[in-house]
Amino acid sequence: MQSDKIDQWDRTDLVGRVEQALDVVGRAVAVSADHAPQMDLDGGEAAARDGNSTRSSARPLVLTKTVSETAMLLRCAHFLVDADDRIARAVESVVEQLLPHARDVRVLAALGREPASAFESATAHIHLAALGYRDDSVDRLLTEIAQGEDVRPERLPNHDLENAWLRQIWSGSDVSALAELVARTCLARSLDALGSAAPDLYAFTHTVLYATDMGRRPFTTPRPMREIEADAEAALAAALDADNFDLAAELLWIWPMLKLPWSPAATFSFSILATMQDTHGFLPGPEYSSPHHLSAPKDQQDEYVLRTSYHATLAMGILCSAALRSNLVPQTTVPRTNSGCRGDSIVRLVQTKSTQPRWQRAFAQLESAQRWSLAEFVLSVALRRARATNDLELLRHCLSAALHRDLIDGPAARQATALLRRSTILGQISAPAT
Amino acid sequence: MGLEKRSKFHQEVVEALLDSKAIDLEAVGATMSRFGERAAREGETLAQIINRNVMWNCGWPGPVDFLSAVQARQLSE
Repeated sequence: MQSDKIDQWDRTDLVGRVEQALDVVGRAVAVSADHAPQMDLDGGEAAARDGNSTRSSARPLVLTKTVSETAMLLRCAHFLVDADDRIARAVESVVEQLLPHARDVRVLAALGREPASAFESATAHIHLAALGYRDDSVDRLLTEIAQGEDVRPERLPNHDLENAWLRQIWSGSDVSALAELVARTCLARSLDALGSAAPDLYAFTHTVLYATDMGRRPFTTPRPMREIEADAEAALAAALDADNFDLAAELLWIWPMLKLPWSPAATFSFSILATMQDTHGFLPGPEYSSPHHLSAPKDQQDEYVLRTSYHATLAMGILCSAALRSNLVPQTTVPRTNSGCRGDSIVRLVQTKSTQPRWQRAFAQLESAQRWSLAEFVLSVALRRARATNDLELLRHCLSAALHRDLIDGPAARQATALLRRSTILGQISAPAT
Repeated sequence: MGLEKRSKFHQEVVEALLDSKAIDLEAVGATMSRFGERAAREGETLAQIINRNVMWNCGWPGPVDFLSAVQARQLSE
């Protein structure tokens, strides 16, 4: 495999992507603040019903979400302010924009009324305070809640972990309690490589983010790191096969946050995202449609981009910040491997889809030796497609090909084997008795 | 995966492939489609499955109030 330094992604380029994210989230906060009074009244119903508006083709931005997520980007990217003047200016501008929203009357009312979700409601306040922008009056309210009766309802483990992460940042308490919570999350067991849906995969990326504090600290993994990485690669295959660059960006931050060297599949995926971002000037989210964007009235085009793509661009900013912090910068080219001609033969398994996702076009541009290093990624896609369409003959064919090419180590092949065994039993049960 | 574990799993795959040869997998697949999840029954593409409600699925901060309005709307549909 190639690993020479000249193949490393330019750090300045990654800083530029962080800067772009800061610009986009700043605009998203401004737009969502403009719409906030109406959202408070009807939760976005009016915007959703407005059939004459191009804006209505994409979901409205929600102020509490844009503000909280922007604060998370600040936590991740703030370390760059000493090294880069452009980032310093962008951060300063975004902080000024966020401060009033982070502690406005909506937030204070939520803290007073809903102590169970107080720390989530105070996300932006907590991150800004940790960066030095304190507000003692909000902290007084949070102290009252933290010292009061614990009235939280039962929650998903990754939400419990998020809550504990926020409390830990706010109070500066010991992080050892987080390990117990991590052991209850999806990180402790295998991901469903063939059948997981977007919420499962987002829970996976979020858990890594909370457990590592965005890559700022190591954590005790509940199972071997290579198993977690194999799950991340299978998830990446699912995201890219759906052209979901938003989810792919979140999955990719698993590498720098867990201090994993970039794998061939991660390197390949990052280059696709970077190319898409360079082409558009932002990273398109899954709801983005280029024809829709370009046919929209000029005064609605920017809001359309923000509604559909601000989150993907933010995720790319967090990913690049984490890569810069960890000093694990992706390579610019997919490494080559010389272990045989398995890549081309495996890719034939996935050539039947009517619309070709972006990864498949990028894959076709690679040299054979690079394609070989992505054989397991391609196999994951093929097996997942077979499972989604209940094409068990195709699943069997893929497994057989994988067996002959020594590609059965990954979670997709392992779970496909289990599916084939269950199918065999089902076939035996349902076959007419002779 | 250790060598011993690997070779054991290798054997499992071989057996699964062999055993399934005696089965009408197309019929089993049809049964799964008929009684499987909504997406499979309605012929949704993988892209639709993985992209549905993406902006809301990344539920920061979670659990969040704004989801309830969306979910209520979906339930009423």
